[in-house]
Amino acid sequence: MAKKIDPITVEIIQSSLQAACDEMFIAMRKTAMSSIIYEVLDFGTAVTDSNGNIAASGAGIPAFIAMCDKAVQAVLKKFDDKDINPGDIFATNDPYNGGVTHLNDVIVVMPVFSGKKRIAWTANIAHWPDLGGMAPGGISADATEIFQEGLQLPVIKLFNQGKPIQSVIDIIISNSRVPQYTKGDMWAAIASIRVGEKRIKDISEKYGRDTFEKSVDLFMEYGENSSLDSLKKLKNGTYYGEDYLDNGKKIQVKVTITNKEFIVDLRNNPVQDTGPNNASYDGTVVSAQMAFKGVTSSDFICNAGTFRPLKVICDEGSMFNPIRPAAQGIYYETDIRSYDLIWKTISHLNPDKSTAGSFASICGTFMGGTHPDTNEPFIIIEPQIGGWGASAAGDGMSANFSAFHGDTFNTPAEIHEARHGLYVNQMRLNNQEGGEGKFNGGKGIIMDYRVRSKNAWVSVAYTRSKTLPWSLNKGREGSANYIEVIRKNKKIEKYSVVTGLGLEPGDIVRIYTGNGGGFGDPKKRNKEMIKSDLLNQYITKEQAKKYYGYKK
Amino acid sequence: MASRIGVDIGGTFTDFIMYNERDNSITIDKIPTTPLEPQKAVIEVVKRNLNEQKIKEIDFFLHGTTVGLNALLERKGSKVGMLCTKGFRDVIEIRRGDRDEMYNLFWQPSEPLVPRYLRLELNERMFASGDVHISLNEDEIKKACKYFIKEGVTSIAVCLINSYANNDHEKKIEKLLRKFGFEGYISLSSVVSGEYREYERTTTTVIDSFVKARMSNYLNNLRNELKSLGFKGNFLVTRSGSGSMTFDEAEERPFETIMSGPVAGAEGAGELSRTFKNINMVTADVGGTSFDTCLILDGRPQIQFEGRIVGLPIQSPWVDVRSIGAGGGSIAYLDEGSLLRSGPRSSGAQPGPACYGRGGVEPTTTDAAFYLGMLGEGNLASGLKLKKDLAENALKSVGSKINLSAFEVAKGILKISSANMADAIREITIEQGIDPRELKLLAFGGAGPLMSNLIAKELDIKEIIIPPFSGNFSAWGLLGADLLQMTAQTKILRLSQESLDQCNTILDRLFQDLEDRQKINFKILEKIKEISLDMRWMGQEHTITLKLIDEKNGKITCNVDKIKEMFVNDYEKTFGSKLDTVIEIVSIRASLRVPLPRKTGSGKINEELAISANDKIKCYSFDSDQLEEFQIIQRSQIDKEFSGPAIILESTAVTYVDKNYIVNKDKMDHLIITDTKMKNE
Repeated sequence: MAKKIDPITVEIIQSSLQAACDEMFIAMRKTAMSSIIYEVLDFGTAVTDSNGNIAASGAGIPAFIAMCDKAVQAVLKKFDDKDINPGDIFATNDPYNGGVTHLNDVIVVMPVFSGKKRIAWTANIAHWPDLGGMAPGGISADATEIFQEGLQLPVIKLFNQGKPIQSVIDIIISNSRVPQYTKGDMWAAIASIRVGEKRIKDISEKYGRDTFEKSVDLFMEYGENSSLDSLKKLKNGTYYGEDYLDNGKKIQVKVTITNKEFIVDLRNNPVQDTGPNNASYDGTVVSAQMAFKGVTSSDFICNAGTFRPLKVICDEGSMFNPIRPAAQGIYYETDIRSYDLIWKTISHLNPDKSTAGSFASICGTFMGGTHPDTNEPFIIIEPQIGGWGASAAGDGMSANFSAFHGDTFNTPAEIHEARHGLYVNQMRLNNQEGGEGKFNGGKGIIMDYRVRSKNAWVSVAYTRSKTLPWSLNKGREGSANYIEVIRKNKKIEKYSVVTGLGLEPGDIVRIYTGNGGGFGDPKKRNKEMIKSDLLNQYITKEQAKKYYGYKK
Repeated sequence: MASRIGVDIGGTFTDFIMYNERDNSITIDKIPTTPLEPQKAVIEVVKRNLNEQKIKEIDFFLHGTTVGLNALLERKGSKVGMLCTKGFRDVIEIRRGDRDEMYNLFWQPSEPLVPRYLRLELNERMFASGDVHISLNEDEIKKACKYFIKEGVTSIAVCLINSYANNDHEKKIEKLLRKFGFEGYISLSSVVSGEYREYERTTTTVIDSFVKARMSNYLNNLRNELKSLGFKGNFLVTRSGSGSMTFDEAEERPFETIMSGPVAGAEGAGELSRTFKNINMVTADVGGTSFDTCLILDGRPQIQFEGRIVGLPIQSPWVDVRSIGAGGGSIAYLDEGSLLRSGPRSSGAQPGPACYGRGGVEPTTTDAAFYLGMLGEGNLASGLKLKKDLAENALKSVGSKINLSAFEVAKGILKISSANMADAIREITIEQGIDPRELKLLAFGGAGPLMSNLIAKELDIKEIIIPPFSGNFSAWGLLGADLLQMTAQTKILRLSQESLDQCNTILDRLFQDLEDRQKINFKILEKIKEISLDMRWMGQEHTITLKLIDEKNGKITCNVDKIKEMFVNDYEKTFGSKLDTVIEIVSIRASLRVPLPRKTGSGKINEELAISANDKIKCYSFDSDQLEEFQIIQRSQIDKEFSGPAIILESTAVTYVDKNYIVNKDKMDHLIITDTKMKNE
């Protein structure tokens, strides 16, 4: 019976898909073994249609949402329909092949069948702490080929019709330096996509397969229309922007906006890095998607339709679209650079949304060693929080994760001390200069990890360490992201990129994350605000005088 | 047996209920809430129902209030000073770095409750093991104390790192602050919570400091006024974590009342479940603006150990009641993409739904239901006559924009809101591995019985229960609240016989603390000591809480194998898998329950008849998707089983029963509505 679907059913089915994604998210969070997953929430869940177009997604990291679909599409490209059956589970972490990011992010996907017809996919992407590679945690600034970054899972089958393919699982587990964590996280991911599968089946059975599929299509149309409406509000034209990497190289973008299209042209950018500072084309697309979403609409709706007006052009062999076997471990800093560049270029188009630059780095901090109390190996992986740029509306946000992260959480000092055998000596707002303006950039943080273990090490790869967060309208630039290693003998070493640096008990790793850029002339800052800043010791008397011209 | 009154302050109405043990009678009343001085309405409603002689006969005054919550929402609390460990004064400003709205790049966190200049650092330190790293310095505290006094601080929150492991420094600081002349309120993080995660524990402690003075004043005023009316019984207030506490304890621990708003209904549901031999249920409490749902297992609502309110976490037990903005007054509208939506905006008490004729023009759930015939003729017991033409106009105002008739829009509104309600129920059931189809649906609140049939259908629930006084059931629940205290301590232990012994040592102390908090002026019949353990597979962070149901004497007596078996079963039920690593105990939880004397029977109430001119009405059936003839029945006149479709009227609620359902009334006056289709399967 051909029946027109009413908007009410569409709405109900969409809400149910959203609820399914949230259930998948909760299942992952509650069962995972690694703090990067359960505390930091460095993972995402999504549902796609049967062809791998994103239909709905769970909370967590916005950047992860538009990644799961690419994995499903890679499965569809590689496997014939007859090899995709109920109960199958596929996995990929290959950035050249649907994996989007780096080898540590494993995407597992599962088809959902209604009767004999495939109607959807459920997917989960999460940062697994170690899958081998030349450095613990897999990510090394010294890697020159992807082979050095860990075990590659080039779109493989993990479960066949509900049964684990044990030999494959054994290979994965035995390639990890922390096999127990990896096993636990893998089962958490599987629990998550299975919860979603069951739920979507229920929805489809309840409303009928046709109605389900049509509703998903309609909602994508809705997402597209919503984006097109927002595009119409932006001034048509081509906009050029540029920025500099910490190594001095220039990056640039041309963004062309029409009523129907949003074209991000990233050609003429540096050739691919000999190290791991590359991001796959899919990853670059995700950056463009994030910036696009930021300038159009901040509502929660985000599906394949939302991004239909977006086109991304990159040169093959560039840092934004490298050729195998370029390393991609630090893809996230490359992605956030292209995101930040696009954002800088277009944020002024919507005057309410024009902001100065943010600390804009994941500030991924990897530490490990032998736990001093249990003698077992541990790895912690922590993105850091920092200051956001000020805007015409007011001061920037202090101590927040970058735009790539969303509803994610840092690890409490008390958990570090109880579980990881580290001391956290301080965690405070960054009192360094930078970001002064009529409205100030948000503050970054200063945080100390004091080492207790033997054989301990630290790796970081921060950006925005030399090229600082930009300011607007005569505000001052923000400050830098970097770490200091304060040795027991008080000798201080400073790094923004370092791999596997050895640490001794008593050494301190001090993290500095940047203050965001300022907006407007600091001399025009409201006197009451300066007074309050002084009272609360956000600034010193000297700073008040020097930058704000404040005399009491 | 004991006579008692319950007064529950809601956003719009203050509900009153009295149970008199002498004649087993129940009196119900409602009065508009007086938000500026909430105790006014309380006193007024007590006065108009009881004379001095009768007040003297009451043993318990049970109270539900949002005074603490309002202090927080309005940011009108004490001037708080905070003492913390060196290096950590920005904890409440840094939070956890999260952004509530992930696509909103301009999101701002809520302002910290303590400004930075009133957060002072102390050069002291505990290790996670509980060992002292840097000792306290008395001079520093003297200086801090002087500074706080000079700045006019009236409440001090002491929040030291790792104090969950050893609170010696916090306790000493309290003594020193007194010694140096501080006379205001002091909150210690280790007394408030005892669990780890410094941001959450600090925030909870600061909230406690912030609301303490206001809560204390309010409770004192109320107590004095009730005493002057002749009240001689016990004063109790509901806790966020279920049960009740004395006013004295609430003054000490006001943060424990903050999320107690929808708890009374959940408590009533728990009690009802126990009279049905602990059947498992899920509730649908639908009021004017919100839908509250709660899972009842083994005769009790579910308890969570951390909540979130106005963007701030609270490390305190709370009854897991999920609320969404969907009620009788929820307004339906078209969003930017022309999709029909319902709620969370509500028409409130003023102007109310369009059909009330008080000036509302936007369509609400009530308008939709009335238009479809689900509210019968629309003659309310209060004398209000609903107006169909106004409902129709409101529905058309939305429908005309998307080419839907008023009728189609009305159907849509009910379908959307019932689907939203069903999603909220799924969230609290499936998340815990509970299949909603195996539960009964208990519906109450002004619009709960109306929506119950649709919600049950969404979830394939076979049986619906409508309790007596369904429109006032929450107030009824208040009367059954046991006296209850809870506490917990984080202590990470690998599961073994030896670690269970350590748990028992901790439990001794926890129960002693709880006993010390109790002061009640009534012959206590029994005390029940309940134990739970937060457990996980080693390596995980999140835990599941294992209730040791059989341990009632405050000690773990069963052996380690039994505990392991229970944990593995629970885990498998929730997440569908089991692991092969070591099992850990993370937190030990103790609760002390003093049951109030049982109410005898359900009480009798003189039901005023809701008026209806006809005994039949054309009403939309969601089952057949067309108008059908529904019979209209007075609840009080039901004396035998009958089949739907029907509309059942009582003074404070209307129940919609679709085709293919049968209705029974049991001896205790519950309506049991059963799906005959599923029964036959």
